[in-house]
Amino acid sequence: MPQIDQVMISYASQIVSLLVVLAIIYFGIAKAMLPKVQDTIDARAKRVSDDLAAAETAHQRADEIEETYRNQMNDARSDANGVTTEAKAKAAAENDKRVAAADEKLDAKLAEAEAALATARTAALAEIENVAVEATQDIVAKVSGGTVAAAEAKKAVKEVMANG
Amino acid sequence: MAEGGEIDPMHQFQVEPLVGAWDPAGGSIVFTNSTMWMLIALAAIWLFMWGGMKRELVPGRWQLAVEGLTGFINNMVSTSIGPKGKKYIPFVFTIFMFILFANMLGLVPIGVVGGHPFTVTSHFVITGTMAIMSFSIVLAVGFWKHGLKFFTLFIPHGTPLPMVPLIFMIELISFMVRPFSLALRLFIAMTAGHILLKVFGSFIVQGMNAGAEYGLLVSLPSFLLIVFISALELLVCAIQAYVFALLTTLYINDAENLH
Repeated sequence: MPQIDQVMISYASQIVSLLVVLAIIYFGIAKAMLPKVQDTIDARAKRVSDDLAAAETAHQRADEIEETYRNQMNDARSDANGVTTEAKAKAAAENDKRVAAADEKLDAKLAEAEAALATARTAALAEIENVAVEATQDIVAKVSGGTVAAAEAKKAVKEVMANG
Repeated sequence: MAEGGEIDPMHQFQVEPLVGAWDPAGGSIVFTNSTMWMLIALAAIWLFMWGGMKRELVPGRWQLAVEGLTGFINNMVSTSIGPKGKKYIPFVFTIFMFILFANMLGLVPIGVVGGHPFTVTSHFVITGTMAIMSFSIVLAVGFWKHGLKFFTLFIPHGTPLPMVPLIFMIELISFMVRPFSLALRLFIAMTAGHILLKVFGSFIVQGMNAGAEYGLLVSLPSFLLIVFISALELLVCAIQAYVFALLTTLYINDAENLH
């Protein structure tokens, strides 16, 4: 077995080369290159966690914005409702006013017309009375040959007319 | 290596000087195939890590592999030792990567083009040195941080007073055995696996040399078996590197966080 047979002859050579190689690996690779690899891993882990935190913040911000937007929408909707109702009420009031004004006008016209009618009627009645008085005087003169005073005739006519 | 028709499964473990020659008195330091394969492992580790140094936010495959491996070691150390284990990560990384790459490089199939891969970790001089390094760190950290209180490591909590001397001795022995078990586990796993591969490999060659019927009877099953064993050996390479690194971190944990 060469491992045993050669121990005495080769141990120094093997140990020295092993120590040299291990020292080179330790100082040249494990101490120099390994930390950089580790740094890269750590930097990546940090970056990922930072990005996740940023995403979380952005998410919350988006939620806030949505909340604000929703509130604004609700406010605007209720405002619009208010404006609509107000406008409706205003329009109705205006309408009522106009209808009232028109009614008033019509009433005035009606009253005027009625008044005119009443005047005409009174005038007509007076005319008829006068005609009837004259007619009575004439009839009386023709029938009896006497004369009837206008006042008397008028009184008689009024009596008759009041009865219908 | 064929020697008069025989295949010596042990020849693959031979340490040969590539430059110069052994001093027969021993203790000479020469450039051997072992040295060369250590340097190849070093170059492979450096290349592997270099590929992971692009430092991109979205890693490519190579960077992901490097980050996966470093993350694995990081995780192993931090779960075993805790936040105080951060300073041991370079050492654990060093031994883990060296063992892993040395094990793997011992299995590269360059034999088909006439090369001879050499498994550095199949020598107990190597595994022993690394085990002693781990053990020395445990001792140094333990006595540096806790002084003589470090000996309380050998007395588990709640040991009845009359049992303390006995338990102390048992725990002390199990503690002292640690570097040996650490070194022998890796050395034996690598040696045995490579002998197995070589033996079945020689079965294939000898079966084919003996004729068609032997080839069918011996070489084919041996070949199927060697495919399976090769896959198993690759697994063992990774597991042994992991076990060595994990036990080292667990031992350091004993010293760092006494009980």
